[in-house]
Amino acid sequence: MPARQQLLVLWLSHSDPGSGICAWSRYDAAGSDTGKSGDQDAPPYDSALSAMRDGWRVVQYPIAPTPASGDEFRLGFLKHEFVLERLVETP
Amino acid sequence: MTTATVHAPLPVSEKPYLPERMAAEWRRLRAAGLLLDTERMARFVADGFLRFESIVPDELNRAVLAGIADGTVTGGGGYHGDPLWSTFAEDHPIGKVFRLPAVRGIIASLVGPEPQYDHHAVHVVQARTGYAQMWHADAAIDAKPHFDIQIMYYPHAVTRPMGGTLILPGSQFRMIHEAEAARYQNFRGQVHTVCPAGTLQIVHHNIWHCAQPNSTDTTRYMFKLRLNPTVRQQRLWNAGDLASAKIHGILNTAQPWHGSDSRLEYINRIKLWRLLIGDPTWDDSLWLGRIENDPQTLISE
Repeated sequence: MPARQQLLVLWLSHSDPGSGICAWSRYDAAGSDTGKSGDQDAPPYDSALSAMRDGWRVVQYPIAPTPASGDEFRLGFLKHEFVLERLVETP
Repeated sequence: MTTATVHAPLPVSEKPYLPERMAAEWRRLRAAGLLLDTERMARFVADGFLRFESIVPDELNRAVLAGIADGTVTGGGGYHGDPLWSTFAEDHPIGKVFRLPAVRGIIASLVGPEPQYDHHAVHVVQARTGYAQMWHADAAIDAKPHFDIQIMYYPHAVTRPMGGTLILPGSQFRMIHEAEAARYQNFRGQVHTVCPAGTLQIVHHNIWHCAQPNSTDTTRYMFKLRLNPTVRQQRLWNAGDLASAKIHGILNTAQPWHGSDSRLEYINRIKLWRLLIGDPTWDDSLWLGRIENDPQTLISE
C-alpha cells in the first residue's frame, strides 16, 4: 500500500520544541484533514514535542538568524517554524 | 461619545484639504465629544483595529443593503486619490453612513477630518460558500511609519456560521506582501467577526485578515472603505486625557500568538505612539530608553 504524507506546521513561541504553539497549519495527502484559515480555535498539541510523542517526525528545525544591523526591531513572518510529518498507509 | 449635531462636512464644491477649515472642523468634532479618547487610540496602536458595534442605525443599514441590491451602492471603485467628501454624495446611503457624526469623529481621530478616498469594495460571500480566503494584508507591503485606515462596515448582523472577517489582532507591524501569509491557517488569539448590524471595524492598513466560509443560506455583505490621511496624524483624537489615561497595560500586553517577539511588538508600538503624540522621547518600561541610552559625559582624564 502506498504511503502518503501528512504535514503539521507549527510556529512556536521559542526555538525550543517544547515551547507553546503560536500558529499552526495542517496538510493531509492521505485523507481530508487539510486545514484552512480560521477552521480551528485551539492548536492540536501543546508543543512540537507533544506532537513528536504522538508519532509526528520533525523534518524541519528552524534556524535562528541574527537580524541585520539596523533591522533589529523589524517584524514579519513568525519565527520558530517546525515542520513535522507523518506517513499514512492508504488503500 | 455623544451624538451631538455638528456642522456638515465639506460641501463637495469646495476646494479640499484647506488646513484652516480642517482645523476648524476638527475643533468642532472635539467640542461635540465625538473624537476618540486616548485609551481607544492606544488600543488601536496595540491591536491594529477597533470595533464599534451597532453604530449605524438600522434604517440606514437597510438602505445600504437595498443600494447594493439595486446598484446604487457600487461594488467597487476609487484608486485615484479623490477627497472622501466629494466621493459619496450626502443623500447617497454610503454618504449618509460616513457622515454620521460619530463616524466622522472616529475618522477624524485617525486620519483627519478630510481624508483622501483610496478605494472601496463591497465584499460578498455567497450562501453555502466553503472557501476560506488566505490570510493576507491588503494592497502591497507598506512600511510607512504612519497609517491608512480601512473601514469594514457590516450592514447586517454577522453570526459565526456566516463567516465574518477573521482578524489577527496585533499583526499591523508584521511586514508581509499581500497573501504571503497564506502558509498560516490558524493563530492563537485570532478574532472572528461576529457582530450586530451596523457595526464598523476600523483596521490599520497592514492588519492581517481573511474572509471566512459562509455555511448559512444567507449571503453575507461587507462594505470596505480605505482612507488615506491628509494631515499629520499627531494628537488627532481628544488627547486631553493623555496624562491620566491608563495606556501602560494596553501597550504592554502581548497577543497570544506573539511568542518571544512580544517585546519587539512593544517597541514597535512605542515608536508609533511617539509619532502619534509628537514626542520622540516617550517610552514605556524603558523598552527603547535603555537601547537609546548613550551617555556622553566624560569623567576620566
